[in-house]
Amino acid sequence: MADASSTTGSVKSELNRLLPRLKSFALALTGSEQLATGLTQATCRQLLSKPPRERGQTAFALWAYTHMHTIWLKQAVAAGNDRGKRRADPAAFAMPGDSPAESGRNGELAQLLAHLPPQQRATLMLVYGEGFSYDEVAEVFGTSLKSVMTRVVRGHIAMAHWLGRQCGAGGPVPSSAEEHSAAARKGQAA
Amino acid sequence: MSQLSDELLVAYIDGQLDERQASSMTRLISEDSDLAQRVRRFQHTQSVLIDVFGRLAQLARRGAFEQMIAPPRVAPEHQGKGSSGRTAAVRSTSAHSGSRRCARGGRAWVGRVRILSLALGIALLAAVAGYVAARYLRDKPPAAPAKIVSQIPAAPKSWAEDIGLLHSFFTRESVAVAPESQQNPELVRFQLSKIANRPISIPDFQVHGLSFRRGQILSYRGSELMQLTYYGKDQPLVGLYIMPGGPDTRPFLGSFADLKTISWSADGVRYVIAGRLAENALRALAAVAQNQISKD
Repeated sequence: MADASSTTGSVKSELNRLLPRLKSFALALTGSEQLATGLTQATCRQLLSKPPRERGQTAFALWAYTHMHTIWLKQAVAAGNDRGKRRADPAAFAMPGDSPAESGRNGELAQLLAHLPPQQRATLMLVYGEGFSYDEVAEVFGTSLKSVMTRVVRGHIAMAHWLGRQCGAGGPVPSSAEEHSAAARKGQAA
Repeated sequence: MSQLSDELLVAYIDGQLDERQASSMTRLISEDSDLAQRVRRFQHTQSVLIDVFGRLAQLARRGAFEQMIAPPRVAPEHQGKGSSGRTAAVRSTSAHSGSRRCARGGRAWVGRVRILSLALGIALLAAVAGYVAARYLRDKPPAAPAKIVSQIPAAPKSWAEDIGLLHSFFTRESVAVAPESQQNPELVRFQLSKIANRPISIPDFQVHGLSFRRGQILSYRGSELMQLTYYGKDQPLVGLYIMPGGPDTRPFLGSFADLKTISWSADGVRYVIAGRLAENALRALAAVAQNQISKD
């Protein structure tokens, strides 16, 4: 009994450490601060009610993310919403800027992120925000490696389009979005 | 032109291919200029995606998630529609209790006296309970907190994970170059310019008590990364990391445990300075580096 309670304690402490990362994954999935808080709470409650098991930190994170994704899917189905149709709130992805120009740019970036399909956004968050491998991301979403690769590439294309528009508006640097997406289409056809 | 899919190219730049596949890709890219151009475009968007999602993850880690997994106390209809921002739920709860306080304030003084009497009664009971608890429960340990509280630090990784991450930065080339070459500023400058696709001098931080010690090429997600290290008699180790990619950004401060970083991008090249230094010192080094590099 004492062992069980100490393992529960370790789940709690692991969860405590993981909480901010879980929250950012929830934000990527739901696209809403309020829904993300609810989803994180629901996930934590469910994880704490699970029989404790020894896991490494990465395995624990994968386990938690997988549960969160499953809960989100169930909530979406229960709410009668198609996963891709719920509109995200750009405020959930707002980043501060040091100058009005940077704030404006960040605002447009938040709009772009809000328009991405939730699972694509969450995939990008895991790959580029958390540094997970494609295999791990496929495990979290219970999907194939190919789906993960497709989501990542679509994220690149969306970003290239945005950078192209920025360039057209006199923004900094980037590459040609048109060329980029044409190359992407060619690649997909191949 | 090569028929390689975008998925494969992105997996290559994300470092997701095994060693054999990656070396085949490197060979193909070096032989095909169209392919190399596609890779460069993806590297550019990759740098932006890493920057954006890294910043979002960092913001979420900094946020205060009060009462995150405490049982919900507020009825669903009060969980503020239209609230936005990172503390929406918390704000909605306090707004609700605030409106209740206002409603009470509008009642007649008789109501206030009743409330006052009730409060006094509760205070008296609490005092008695406190005395009893102090008297009889003195030896019992304090109860565990009922909820996981806010202000949680970033999740620390395990030793093995950190070492794995560190190891991923090294390549055969990192180790093959002789130490005396790594200390040769001319050679390092040449390598740096090759990585950045433009001439870049090694920033001189002598005024800040830091001398250039070594430059070595590392690997970050399949791209070359130059590490320039500095230290001085009374100064800690400072690293300046340089790699291509990314739109122009202003200096952005970050931290990892007691290590602080400042990062920015300019003219298609990304920079990070890392060290156990004060923010002002880091900003000063960044300004010096920016100024010297812009003159190249």
